[in-house]
Amino acid sequence: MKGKRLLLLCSIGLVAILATLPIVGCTAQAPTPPSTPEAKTLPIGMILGMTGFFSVREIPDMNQTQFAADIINEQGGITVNGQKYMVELVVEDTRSTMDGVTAAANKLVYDKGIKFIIGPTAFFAAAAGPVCDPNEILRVITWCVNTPGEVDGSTPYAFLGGNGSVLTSGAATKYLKQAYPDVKKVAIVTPDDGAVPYVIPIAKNLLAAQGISVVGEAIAYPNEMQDFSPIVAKLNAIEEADAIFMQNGLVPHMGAIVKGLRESGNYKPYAGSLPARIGQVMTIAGEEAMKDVFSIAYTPTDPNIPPVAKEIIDRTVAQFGADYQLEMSGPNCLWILKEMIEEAQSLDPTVVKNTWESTDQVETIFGTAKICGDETFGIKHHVVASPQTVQILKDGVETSAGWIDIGVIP
Amino acid sequence: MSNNQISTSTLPKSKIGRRKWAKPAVYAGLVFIIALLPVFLSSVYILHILILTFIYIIAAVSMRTITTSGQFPLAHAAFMGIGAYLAGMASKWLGWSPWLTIPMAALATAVVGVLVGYPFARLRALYYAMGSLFFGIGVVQIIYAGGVWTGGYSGFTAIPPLFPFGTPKVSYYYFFLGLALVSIIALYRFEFSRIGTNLKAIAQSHLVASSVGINEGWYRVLAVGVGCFFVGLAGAGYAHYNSVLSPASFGFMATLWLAMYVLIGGIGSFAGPIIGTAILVLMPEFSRDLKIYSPFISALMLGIVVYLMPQGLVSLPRLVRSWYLERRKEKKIAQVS
Amino acid sequence: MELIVATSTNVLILSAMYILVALGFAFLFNMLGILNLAHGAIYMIGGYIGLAFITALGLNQWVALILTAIIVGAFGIFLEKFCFRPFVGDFNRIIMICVVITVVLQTGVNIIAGTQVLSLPPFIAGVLRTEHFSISYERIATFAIGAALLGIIIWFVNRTRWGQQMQAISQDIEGASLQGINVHRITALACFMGCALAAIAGCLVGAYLCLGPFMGDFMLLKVLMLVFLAGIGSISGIFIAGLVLGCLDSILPLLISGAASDAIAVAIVVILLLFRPQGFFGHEA
Repeated sequence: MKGKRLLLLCSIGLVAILATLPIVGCTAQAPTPPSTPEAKTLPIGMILGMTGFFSVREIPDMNQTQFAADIINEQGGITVNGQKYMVELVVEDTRSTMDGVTAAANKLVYDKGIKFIIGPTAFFAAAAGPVCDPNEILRVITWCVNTPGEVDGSTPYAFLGGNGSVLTSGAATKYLKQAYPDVKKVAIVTPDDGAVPYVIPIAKNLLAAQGISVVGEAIAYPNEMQDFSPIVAKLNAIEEADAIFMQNGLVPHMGAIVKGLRESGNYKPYAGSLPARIGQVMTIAGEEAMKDVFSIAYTPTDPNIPPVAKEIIDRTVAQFGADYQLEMSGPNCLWILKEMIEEAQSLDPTVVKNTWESTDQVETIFGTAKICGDETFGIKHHVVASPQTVQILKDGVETSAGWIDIGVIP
Repeated sequence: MSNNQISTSTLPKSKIGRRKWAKPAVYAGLVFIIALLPVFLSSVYILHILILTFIYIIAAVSMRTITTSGQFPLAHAAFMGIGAYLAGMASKWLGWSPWLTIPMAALATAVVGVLVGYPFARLRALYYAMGSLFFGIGVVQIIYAGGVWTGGYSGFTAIPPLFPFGTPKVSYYYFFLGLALVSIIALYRFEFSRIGTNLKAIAQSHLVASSVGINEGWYRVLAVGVGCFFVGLAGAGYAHYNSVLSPASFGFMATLWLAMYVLIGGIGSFAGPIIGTAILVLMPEFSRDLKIYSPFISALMLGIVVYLMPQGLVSLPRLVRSWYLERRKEKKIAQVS
Repeated sequence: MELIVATSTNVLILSAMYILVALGFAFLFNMLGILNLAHGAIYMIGGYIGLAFITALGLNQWVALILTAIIVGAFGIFLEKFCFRPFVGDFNRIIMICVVITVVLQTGVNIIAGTQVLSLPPFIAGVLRTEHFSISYERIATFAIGAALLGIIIWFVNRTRWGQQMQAISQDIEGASLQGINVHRITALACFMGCALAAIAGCLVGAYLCLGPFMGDFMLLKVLMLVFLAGIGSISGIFIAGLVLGCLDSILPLLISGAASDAIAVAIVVILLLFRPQGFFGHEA
């Protein structure tokens, strides 16, 4: 009996400790950074999924954004009206759920009084809108899949700084035309994630702008599909297609589809308009399958990387190794935000917003980019179309196939 | 209250009178404090978390109501999703006011719940668990396949909120506090009424119950209907508060977590789900500083309760008291000998 | 022709994988009445442990497969003794402890390896190409291993003493112990086998697809559907139900585009259950 009593005592103690966590959480003060007359701090929020299924993409993005913040601070921070501000990233976890996004947004906006937020990503962004937009909090989204509520007419304070499926598709279509000029017809394969009715028409227009037409309906697969053999079979059945165009999706999907296609003897060019590292796709599909496959991903050994992006990638490789995922959308968002704040010379989100909407181009970590997207997104000048890079496999190693300036998205 | 409480206390008569309204006074006091919280709390974020807690309390208590009939609803989060999506879709596509969609969605969820529960009402309780499990999986898949109507995998956005834009969060706080109180009182009266007693009889031994004349199937369906009504209410409220829905919030894992809320508090007691929800919703929020390690905290709490407090956290005061009394007894024995 | 061959192989492989994992689940469910909701996490961790053996210790895939099966099986025995046996009969506490195990395993794996896309190297590399169709050796190997294991399990359950003891326990646990069967030992053995099977399936799927910390969630739902479709207490029903699910998952996406194929698959399972709630070969109604 004594042992059981001891256990009970320990359990009560533990429960008591855990019960005091709320009190600690309530009263914990964020460490106040030293404010010298030279430099103050500008906290910039970041809403990401650090746990849960989305963390595979978000944790690398967060780390790379931190590097961007470091670089900005090393260069003297953000200067507004003569006052320097050091960037401090404040990250909140969404647990990869919409509920978590709302909670994180609430925390950043109401609790920590943050005025500028980076993220969330893709369809998660729609959950932060109702919290941020009424409070005039400026958000720079890291990835957009064009579902209603992400970046459109209903989100006056949401801007797209990272890629979006539309932007990567723009790059993919241009490269497809450039590298495979004989391709006239493609079959589209895409995950059925609710963005299909919005994104596929845009993709079709982008392809048509390059003189490529789409055969049949886009082949959609359930998001949680594990075995892609039926999809491969369907793609094989479309014989008139000269190439396969993948719109959105994740690395496991691309890997499985490419593997299946090549195993069944289908070696048509495969355009992956997603930032899937070819090396990772190769892990799933095998080296031999990667012939004539490309994606819109960043290569650390690329000699043509613009300087700021190169610095971030070098630091990533130094700290996390050469195989680490390179998302690079968060750092781009932060950099563009810095540019816009300095252009507006104000820390008021509304002033920055107005400045952004009246600017035509901006310096990003990937070079000069046009601010556009009025028609496609339904809101004027909220989208930054940064130059994209294409990645292929050459001699068993990830190689950059060049940079594409996607110009102005309509 | 006294007609179904068998008092085995050995207190003198004067104290019994006082005891009768001690409990309700404590509860009223708690509610009073919770109602006054917004005055003292400066953090709107904590208000948001408390609102979510109220919503999930309604869901958890209604889940427990169904379990009192002996059936375990393995799709409760899916019914919350049905309530949420129906309210959201009616409001967004048909333009109905939230004050209309919320009761409508709750009723519709109850109807669906009854339709699902009816085929299994006369079978072993395990079959309702299975059937509801698959139904829940199916609901999520239907939402995925809903295209533009349900937003699919990416979620359903831009649902008109309950109060006009710009209303301070405090209004939502009081609305959901009120909704939770009404639901709790309603479910409490349901459980401790004649119907509730019959349900417990069915749960304990359905053969004996039917031999006494209780129509087992009818009562089971009733329990499911009532439980689904309130969880649909919670879902619809959630839809009009959050403005954004994601099908992942209503899947099997979500149902499992609702079950955790109920179980960690204690499934045998009415207050169990309330306490359990509060702990399991607030804990991850306050352990945000642990970042990627924060799920371990919830797992730790669950582990402690599973091994050491089989009746749930509700039993903690009782366990402490019995441990204390036992120690006192041992001391007395040691003194005497 | 190509389509038929491709689809048939898909059906066989998917069914084999589902059945492997479901058998482990069914052992525990039939014998002790425990719904092991952590089985998906065990399947997942098996894949990752297999990969760890291959990359960290440089072992051959086959050796790693066997080692993984043994280690995860041992973990299963540990689980049975400390997490399931104390709570037999208490459904509520079982699902609580299963959630704990799942969260711990998933979070742990996510922290250690979540940010990378990982896949096991193929068990047999290369593609078999004939003039009518082509199929990778890996898929053939996956199916062969799965089928061989299933054959061994069938032989074990029906022909050996231990297997018959397992059957006895699943029919009537008290009667079995009265007959002198050491229930604890046989249950531990069943748990060992079940978890080992799930781990092997995890490695096989990790080789021909890829690994992910949350791949267990998906598999758990499939297994639950399978086991209830098959009926409580039936092992042979699992084979039939596995084939049915494999067919649905391979053929429906061909006919129906997008997420609707999953919805229709579940709808078909629900209808089947409505017609026959006790499953194909269930023992009770």
